[in-house]
Amino acid sequence: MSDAPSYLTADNRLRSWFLTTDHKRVAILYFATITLFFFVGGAAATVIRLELMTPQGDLVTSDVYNRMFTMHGVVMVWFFLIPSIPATLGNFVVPLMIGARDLAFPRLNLLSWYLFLIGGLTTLYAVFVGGIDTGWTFYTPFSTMYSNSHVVLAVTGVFIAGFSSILTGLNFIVTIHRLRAPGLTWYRLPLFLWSLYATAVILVLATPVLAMTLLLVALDRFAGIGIFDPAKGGDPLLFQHLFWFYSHPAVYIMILPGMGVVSELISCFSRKPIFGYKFVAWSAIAIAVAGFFVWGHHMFVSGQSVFAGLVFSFMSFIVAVPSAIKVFNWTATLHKGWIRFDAPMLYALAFIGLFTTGGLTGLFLACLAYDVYVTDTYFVVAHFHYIMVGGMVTAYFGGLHYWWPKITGRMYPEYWARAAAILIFFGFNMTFFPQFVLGVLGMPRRYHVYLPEFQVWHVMSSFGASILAVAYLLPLLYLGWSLFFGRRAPANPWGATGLEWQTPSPPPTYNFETTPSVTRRPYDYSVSGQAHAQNA
Amino acid sequence: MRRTPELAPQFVDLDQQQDAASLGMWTFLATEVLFFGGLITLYCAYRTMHPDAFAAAARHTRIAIGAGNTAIMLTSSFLVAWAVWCLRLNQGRIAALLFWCAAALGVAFLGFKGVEYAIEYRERLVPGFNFVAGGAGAGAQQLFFAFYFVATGLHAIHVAIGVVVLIVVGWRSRARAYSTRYHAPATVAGLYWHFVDVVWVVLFALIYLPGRS
Amino acid sequence: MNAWVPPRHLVLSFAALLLLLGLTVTVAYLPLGPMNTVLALGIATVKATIVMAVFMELRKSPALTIAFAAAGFLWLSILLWLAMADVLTRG
Repeated sequence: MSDAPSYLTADNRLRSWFLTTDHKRVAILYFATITLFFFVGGAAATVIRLELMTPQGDLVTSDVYNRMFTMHGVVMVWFFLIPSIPATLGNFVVPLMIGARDLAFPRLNLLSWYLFLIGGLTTLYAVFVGGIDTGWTFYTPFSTMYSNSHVVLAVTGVFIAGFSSILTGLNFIVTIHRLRAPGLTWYRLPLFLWSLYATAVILVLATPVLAMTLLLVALDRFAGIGIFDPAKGGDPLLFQHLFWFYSHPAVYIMILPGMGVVSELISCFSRKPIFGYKFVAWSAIAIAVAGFFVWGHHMFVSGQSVFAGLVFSFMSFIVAVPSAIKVFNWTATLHKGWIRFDAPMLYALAFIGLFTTGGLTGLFLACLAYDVYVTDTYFVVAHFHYIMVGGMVTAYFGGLHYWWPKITGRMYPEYWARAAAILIFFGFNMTFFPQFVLGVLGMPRRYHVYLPEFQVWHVMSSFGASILAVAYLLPLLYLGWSLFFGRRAPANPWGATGLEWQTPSPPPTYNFETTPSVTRRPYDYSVSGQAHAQNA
Repeated sequence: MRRTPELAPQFVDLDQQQDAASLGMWTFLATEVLFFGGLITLYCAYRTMHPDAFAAAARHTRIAIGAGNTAIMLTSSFLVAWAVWCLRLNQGRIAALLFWCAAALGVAFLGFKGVEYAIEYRERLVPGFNFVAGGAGAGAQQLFFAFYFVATGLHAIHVAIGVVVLIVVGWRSRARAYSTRYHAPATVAGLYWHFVDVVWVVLFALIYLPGRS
Repeated sequence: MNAWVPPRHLVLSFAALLLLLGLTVTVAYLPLGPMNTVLALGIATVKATIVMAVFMELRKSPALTIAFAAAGFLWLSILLWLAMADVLTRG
């Protein structure tokens, strides 16, 4: 073991952090920024849940409420979830897992963070000067012609952040293709990398269409060019086609990395190779590809043709299959595994249950007839929160805890972590399960005034949200504590396979003393009790 | 293996680095296909919905300038391809001249585009500013011109960026920064420029050719 | 090899591109009905293919590079196909 300083202490000047090209430091920069945005989005959610405790619109006006749910959506989707796992855990772990010194384009990596920051600050500024009331979906012609809010500013922020996404995706694709250590063939790659590769493909191919769409909205609004103006023959439905061509694959950006993390956690904490490795690997690719064919299921009642509706509905059923394949394989991995209920594993198990619930309700929504009944109700809201929060955010926390020792060189306090994980699970279900009921009962989304008979469910949901808020604060506290007082972590505290565990915790700037070479299959836990070095 | 200054630390050798650069540029170009592609999808939909209006609107465009600009773009692309070939023969100075000629053609393209925009402004064809169209489907004619200005405007921005890149690449070629063994930045810049040409070729067919017969 | 003389494959491609430009402009003025659009787009596709295959050297590139180049167009075709499917089948 060398005495080289870790990446954290190698250079303490501020400029060495803000001009870094070290992927690990860029990851830390992203961690800090997305945590900030998580709290902004969370603040909006707090206002929403407080308002919804009572059937009348008594806490905020309708106009303010519109701005709250818009801000919640815009910030959480583009400035928390989309970058979350890829830009933090991905940036940190990918070169290590691959046995490389850095990503293929380290300077582009830093640029992507700056673009993210500038985009985020622009959007925050839009919020600060009054916000937007269009919903995160910016539907025309309301957003282009009638809204009296800071639409141009907000879409500019998202437009800029979009380039950040594209650069991250580009970097991951080229890195995974070209920088793998000797012997690390595609079928020896950890599944986290397969998932991130699939995510990167979506980032690269879908985001540009969003960029064009938002540009057109801004131009329409700013210069009145009339591209989505029905009076000029423009078609608001075309906006929706362009918007959802990105935004549906975007939801796969917001789940695939989580699935990748879960594969790592399930395998490590059952001490078993993932069952059906190739199926899990290719299902990630299948989700990324098939996910591009289903966007019209957001438009079943919008006026698109019946034929289009049929095609999109059918494809939406198809895209559920690879997700189901993953769930079956994770479960099969657990069977006869040597299971440990450390905090990361609790998160992984929670993911499987919550994601499955969310995913199954997605099938309800894929059904044309049923969707007509529940579209734009809380059923949809519950569905996507089960996947994005119950799934992705849970996986993010799982991965955060799993790789925390590697990233910081410290162990977190295990019992606090397990308690927080359990509390998150309860708080989450208490918040969002009642929303399925509300949706079926007919409660529309984006409304803050509702019929009195819905109140009991809203109160339950808001109560759950208050538990969830506390539960999400706990990791902030004990992880922060661990940075100073946590037990120092060894290179491989979990006894896991994977090249990232073959380097010290935290790693030196250059990652590996000598380039490792790989000879064993992935998740090779065949030697009981101990993980062995991957070096030949 | 001796590490030369051009070799970045994350790469094992120059071949890996140049290969990665090429893949990276092609990935970026794929994003550009989808960026312009979104706009083209809009065009296809609107042209299908309003065929006569689009044909009428297209007739207002200046095909002479459009075709001339296409010839300019194709020539500059040819020069850039030739320049990269020169770099492979270690002929940096000839390559520099070719890159700069291509850049000059790019500037000429922008000049003619500016003239064309001025004509369209005079003829009141600019949506959002002074658009007045006669004849049937005036509203949809405005849609055509909205597409026209956004598409060619974005393309022009890409040309301008490309001109700067070509000037820099030409300058570095002359300074012997490239060799037979290492000239990936020039190749990759060439890919970008050729792609800008490809976009124009498609836009030309969509903008200048409809409704002429 | 004299660098002042451009290589044959580039010169031939360039000539072909200019010829196709002349062709596409000429054909635009002929009354061919729907074929005008087909030919305009078809010739544009041929020109684009020549630029990509020869100038961008795809014809000499490894399969992976060609796959990357094709991916953008393939995905665009998904957007075009399904969006147009809606536009063309609305009542």
